[in-house]
Amino acid sequence: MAIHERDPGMVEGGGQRRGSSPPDGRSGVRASDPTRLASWLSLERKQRLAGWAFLTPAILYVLFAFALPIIYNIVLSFEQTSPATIADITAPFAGLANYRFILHDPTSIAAIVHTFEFTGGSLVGQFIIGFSLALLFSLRFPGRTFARSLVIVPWLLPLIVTGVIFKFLFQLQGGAVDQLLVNIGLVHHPIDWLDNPHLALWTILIANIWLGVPFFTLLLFSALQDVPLDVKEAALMDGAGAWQRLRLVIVPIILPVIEVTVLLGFVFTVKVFDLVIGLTGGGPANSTQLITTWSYNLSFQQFSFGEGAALNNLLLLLAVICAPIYLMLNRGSLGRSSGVER
Amino acid sequence: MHLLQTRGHRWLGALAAASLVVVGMSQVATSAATKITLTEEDYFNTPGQIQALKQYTQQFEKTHPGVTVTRTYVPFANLDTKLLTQAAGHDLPNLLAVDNPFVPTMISTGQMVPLNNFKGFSTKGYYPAVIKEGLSNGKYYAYPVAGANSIALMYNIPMLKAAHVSPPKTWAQLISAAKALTTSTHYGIALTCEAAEDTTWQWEPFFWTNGGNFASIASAPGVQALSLWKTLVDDGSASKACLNWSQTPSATGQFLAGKAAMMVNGPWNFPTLNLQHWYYGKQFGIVPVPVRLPKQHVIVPLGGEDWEISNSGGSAAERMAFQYIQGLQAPAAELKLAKLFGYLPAKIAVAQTYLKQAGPEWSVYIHQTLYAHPRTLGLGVKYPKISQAVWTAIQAALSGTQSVKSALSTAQSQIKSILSS
Repeated sequence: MAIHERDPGMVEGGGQRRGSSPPDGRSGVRASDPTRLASWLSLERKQRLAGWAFLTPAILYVLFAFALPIIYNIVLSFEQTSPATIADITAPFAGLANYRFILHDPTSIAAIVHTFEFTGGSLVGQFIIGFSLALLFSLRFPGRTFARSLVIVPWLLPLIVTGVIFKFLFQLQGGAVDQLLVNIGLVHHPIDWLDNPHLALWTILIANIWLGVPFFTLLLFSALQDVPLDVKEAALMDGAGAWQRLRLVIVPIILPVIEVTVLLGFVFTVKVFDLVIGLTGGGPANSTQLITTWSYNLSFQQFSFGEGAALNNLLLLLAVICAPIYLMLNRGSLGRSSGVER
Repeated sequence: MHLLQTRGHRWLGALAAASLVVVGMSQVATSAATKITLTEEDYFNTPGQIQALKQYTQQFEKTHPGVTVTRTYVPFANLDTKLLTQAAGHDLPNLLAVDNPFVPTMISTGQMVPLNNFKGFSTKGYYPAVIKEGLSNGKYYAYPVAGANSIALMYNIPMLKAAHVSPPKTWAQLISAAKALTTSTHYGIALTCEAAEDTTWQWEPFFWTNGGNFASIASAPGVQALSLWKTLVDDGSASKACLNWSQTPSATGQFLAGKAAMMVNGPWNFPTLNLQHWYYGKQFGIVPVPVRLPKQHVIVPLGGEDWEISNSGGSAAERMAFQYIQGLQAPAAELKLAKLFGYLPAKIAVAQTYLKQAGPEWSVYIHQTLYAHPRTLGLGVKYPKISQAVWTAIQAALSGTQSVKSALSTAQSQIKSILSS
């Protein structure tokens, strides 16, 4: 914009606000040099308009791609839907019937419980292994870089591929894990990893931990790199042992990163879908149904879109709870970590 | 006339050619000037299926100047969802070929055109169960695509010979045969018990033949039929890994790899088996699904796809779409399509002709189709939900989460609430 160049003081947003203390139209009338002030205001207005013009596509995109599906999903969960109503914009109002169904359907309840078990188990496993690896990679040893890049591999694989690989590893007939366990004599009979309703969720948990470790390792490793050397050295000089240094110095410093990592890990895990579909499809006997897989099943296998939407809204609720926490932690972590560095 | 050049049956070809010419001429008369593009969606993906549809389309376009037929392939797992999404936007293809349990669901969208509306539509000569797949409120909405299919017991001849076992006819024989056929390297039978429709479909012949009815699934016929499967798994004659096996390719794969001596499966496996040099009468044999009592008639579920016409394209396109599928109902076209699809022609007389030219491996399938049961009959759009309750009960019982009785009781109460909703 050419107008900008004439008045370099205007370019900065902060200066602009300070400069136009009475921002309403009246000030223009009172001013000694009306023409100049008018151009001032119109400039400000123009800029604001330009700002909105630049923002509009993004706002439209957000409305279209995020808000619309969410709102539609909420509307859907209060409707009595079926393929017969699919072509109409609205279906008969169902009240709370879909939510009542979810609360009384044993499989839906089990899916909710499984989702929390699965997410909790994944986070604990991923954090312990990921943090251990991050600490390991902070040490200097030959082949460190190679090993570090190797850890990232699971992250690069599409989830459905991971599902297929783990299916090969854990299948009852000819599965690599069972063959190994039997050959080294740890077990006498092959374990039915994926075919036993009490074990299947654990098996998927193992696969998901394997998948999530790179994320934890990478983030925690880079946080560990940021721990100032002088603080560590000071602790060493004060005679702190390895465990004390970790617990009292390193963890408090990287705590903000840990919080954000765990929160993001939660969000990633709570919506796992492909892995379960690839490994068990929710079976045997629904013992591995999660909120995601069961709501997909309700919507697209049984064509009860309203019930599927109602269950899915639980995930939405979780996201609504998590988003502000994330923002809070993120802001806090910036403040705290900058405080530490000073 | 590419399609009609099958050796023998020249009279059939001539008849079909004549009827096609008549159809073609009437078409030219009605809409000579208009250009019509028909869109079509299906999930057919074997080389034979693709070739069959391509050849027919080329021939159809030649006899119907100005008409273009555009086919879109959608994978099996996605087609139903895609069609429903398209129905939501009133944007369905002119022609759709769907798996038969899904036909009532598509009809319920209200966007399917009854075929009774069109001149030339006839239900004459079809296996009743096949043509009734598209029956809703007294109107027919569907023609079979390439006929029908069903399942029967396939067995590995050398393995049965080695174990001195003859193909089982009853459940008791099945249990003892499967036990005798189980060795350290292979199981007696490969079942399909994954969390999907093919599990219910595999169990239905045992259940229905024994007099079962979904509404009272927890009574004797159901308990007996599920106990049979449970016995096979508990005996170690069937691998518990079946809880994650699909019918095709998992169970077929076990059978072909020599890891299972028997399986319940369908004729679409013939091309695959032949490709691996497995031939009927030498490597594999086929008998009907065993029955509990010798006097019982085997009732198999009916498989196959159906054509439906949507109302998205207007009446001219609807009429043209009907001509497209009507042309495929000519005996010669049916024979050719059935052969390339690995299916059984949907008309009884054509199926008899087919048996003569197609070989003895079809015999069991052809005869039992007379007693085949459409899965959605009387259940309509509720079938997918019921099927889910059934396969869940099967999985619960076989995995040991619940006893056979309590698993079926759970299913029965679910089915009752589905039926009453």
